[in-house]
Amino acid sequence: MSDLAEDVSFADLPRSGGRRQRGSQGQGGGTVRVEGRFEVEPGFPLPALDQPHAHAFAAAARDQAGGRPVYALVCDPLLAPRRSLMSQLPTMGRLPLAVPLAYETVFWPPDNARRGVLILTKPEGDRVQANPQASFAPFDEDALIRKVVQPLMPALIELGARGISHRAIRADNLFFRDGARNECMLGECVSAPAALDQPSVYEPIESALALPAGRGLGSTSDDLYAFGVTLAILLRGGNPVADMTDEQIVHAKLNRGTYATLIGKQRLPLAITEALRGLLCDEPIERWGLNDLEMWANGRHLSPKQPMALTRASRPFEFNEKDYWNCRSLSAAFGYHWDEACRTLAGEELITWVHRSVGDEKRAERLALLMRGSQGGTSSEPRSDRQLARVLMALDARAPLRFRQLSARIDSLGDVLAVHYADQSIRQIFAETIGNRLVNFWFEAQPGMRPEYAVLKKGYEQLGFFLMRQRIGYGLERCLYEENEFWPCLSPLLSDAYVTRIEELLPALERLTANGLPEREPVDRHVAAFAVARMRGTPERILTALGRDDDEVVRRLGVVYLLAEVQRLVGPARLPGLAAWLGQSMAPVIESYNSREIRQTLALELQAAVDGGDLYHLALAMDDGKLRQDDERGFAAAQAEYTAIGRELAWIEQGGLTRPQFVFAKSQQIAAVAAGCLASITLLVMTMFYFG
Amino acid sequence: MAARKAKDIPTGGSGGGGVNWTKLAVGLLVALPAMVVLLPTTMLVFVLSLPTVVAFLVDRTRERYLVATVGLLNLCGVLPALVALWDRGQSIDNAFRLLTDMVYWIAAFGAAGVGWAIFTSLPPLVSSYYTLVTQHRVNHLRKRQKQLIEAWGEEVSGRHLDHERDGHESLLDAVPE
Repeated sequence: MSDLAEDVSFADLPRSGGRRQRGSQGQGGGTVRVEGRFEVEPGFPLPALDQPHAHAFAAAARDQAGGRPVYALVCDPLLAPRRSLMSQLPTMGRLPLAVPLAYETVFWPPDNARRGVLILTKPEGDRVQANPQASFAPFDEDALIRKVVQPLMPALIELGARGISHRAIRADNLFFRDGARNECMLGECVSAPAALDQPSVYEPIESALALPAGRGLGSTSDDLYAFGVTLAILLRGGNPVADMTDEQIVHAKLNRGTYATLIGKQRLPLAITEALRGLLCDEPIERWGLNDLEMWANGRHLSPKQPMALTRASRPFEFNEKDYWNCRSLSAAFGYHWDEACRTLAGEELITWVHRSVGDEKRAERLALLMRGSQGGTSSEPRSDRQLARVLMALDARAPLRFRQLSARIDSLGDVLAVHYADQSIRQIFAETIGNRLVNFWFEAQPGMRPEYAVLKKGYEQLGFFLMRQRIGYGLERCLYEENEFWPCLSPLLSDAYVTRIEELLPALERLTANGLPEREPVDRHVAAFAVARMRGTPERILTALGRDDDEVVRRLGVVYLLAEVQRLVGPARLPGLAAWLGQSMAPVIESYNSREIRQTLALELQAAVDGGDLYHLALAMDDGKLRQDDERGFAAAQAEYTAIGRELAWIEQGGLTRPQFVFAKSQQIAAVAAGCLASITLLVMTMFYFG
Repeated sequence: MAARKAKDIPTGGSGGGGVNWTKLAVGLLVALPAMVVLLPTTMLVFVLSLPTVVAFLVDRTRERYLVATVGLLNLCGVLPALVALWDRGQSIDNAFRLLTDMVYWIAAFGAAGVGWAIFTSLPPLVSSYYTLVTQHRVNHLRKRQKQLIEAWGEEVSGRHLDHERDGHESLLDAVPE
């Protein structure tokens, strides 16, 4: 996992604020107002309060003289804070927890771009552990209970009661609540996706096997495990496994158990041992819950949990020059060394080992079925990635879904896609994971079906549908925004705008027109997928029109209709800049009408719509069905007339009017008519003469 | 099929351009008694209308414009003799007497001659007229074509046949979902 962790580290991601701002202090140019209630000072960074994916700055409430101190976190523009918690946590302000008081996307002068800025209650003391590798004076039993367990219990209970998982409980995210260092408080948990900043040591085995982005929301049980690890680290005065890789940590936990990995042979007071064994239990069902912890904190002692005992094989399985004694650790090793595992599994050794050494016949049969496939024999060819993924599920059903470099809990595949979207290989692997229906295989591999699995399954089937359609509005982009409700739109057009809600989309595009109309179109694959995912119920014909690359007129109308739909739903009512931007691309649409008069009328209507900033008016003006029908009919009539004239001209030019036959025929007609007239006149004269 | 069946059914008269014997029989049944009763008139009209009879024999076209041209004027020329016969009383003597009067011959044949003259002299005149009209007509038609192109674009001439959309409420309605 260490290799993987390095592959997907965020060191190369552009960071907001923080370091860059520190290099450009003084360029902040005044305060930044958040929700009208708080003022942030871009020129005053607070590095001590920085989070791995957010940078801290001084802030103050505008109307709260003598209130609780606050600070600001400027979030990473390529990530999404946990917005769903922001409405729930502020009511927990009395608890020892840094709660978000406000959040807004604002213009951040040091970056010259818009950023999500969080306002949080500020701890008055220092971090308990300055950084994940730092050592400090170990806490004794009394200090641990008095300063950590007792103050944090109400917060853990309240979070558990509300079904909120903190997912950022770790020693370097614990703060002393005051300068006297008498009590601790939990740091914030909303600036980055859940568990993204958690080192592997703080995660249960099932979660530690996943990429940091794929650990998901988890549950209170995961928080309690992290709390147990935190207590162990505080007792040890630092991380005892700081020098181990993620893979080594996972294998140590699998082979020796978390308690033994963290505490080793250190002797601890019995009461503490009891709590740590309960919290660090590697079997989630056996792990202490909030009630157990509360009882223990109130002095009622429970029997210590025994370490998890994995079925040990009679002989080890040798892989990558190491011996593995149980299926779970072998599965983990295969996951960490994918290519070697594909090669190793060419023969039947694994099936034989599981059958004879582990003595698990059912598992051996399942593996045989997977590896022999429909041929009924074992090939000596290396296993396919898909086959290996299913073998890993058979070896360890509780482990995350693993497929090449991707490893995520079953509910967090979308989070991995979002966090690693810049990584082409992860995008490809995600698409293959969904396309190969590995999610379904994972569900099938589980010992029992849970109610939430049905919802997840349906969601992933929908993602498969999106991936099958590669046109604009679908594909990976659609998966990204469907799976991540608050993820910012990653369109290059909006790279400085940090648009996370549909209401922010059109104003952000409007702002782009402030310094002249951009040459690119305002809708690309990301903008389209973002808008469609956020709006719900976008007419399919708009998406189809957007994908009509073979018909430029229809495609451009699709662009206007999509943005008009957004304006109709969420406003704002006037968007003159965006309307002008769209208007400049309407030339082919106007040209598609045949009548010059209609084109002139449309040009005037376009100008009126642009001036009014009404995109819906613009769309309707450019795609008036009756006008187009009139135009088609008139054009057909004109074409028929032109053709008839052409025929007549050709006839005349070939001497049609002066040809003897024609002249003779006409002469005869004229002669008859003339004779008739003359006879009538003569008859009249004669009659008058006779009777006169 | 129905048309073929209808053709096979025999009809009372002759079909197409042949002689309609029924009509001819009815006509003769009415005309012969009249001709017998009005024999002097019949004689006079037949003799003075000989140019029309000749025209009828000469003009084999379907429209028979020559017959119409000569016949109408010949009829005007016959009328003075006819009026004179009816004035003097219908008798064979009076009819012969009138036929010996050259004035009536001149009137009838002269009028028919005018008809012949009109018929034969018009083609050169009409030809000259159409020669004069041709250029004007060409100019007018070309101007109209230009107007159509100005109003509807070059595509109206059929040189840009890329118009495939028709009959749709709007362009987006035409997009298959």
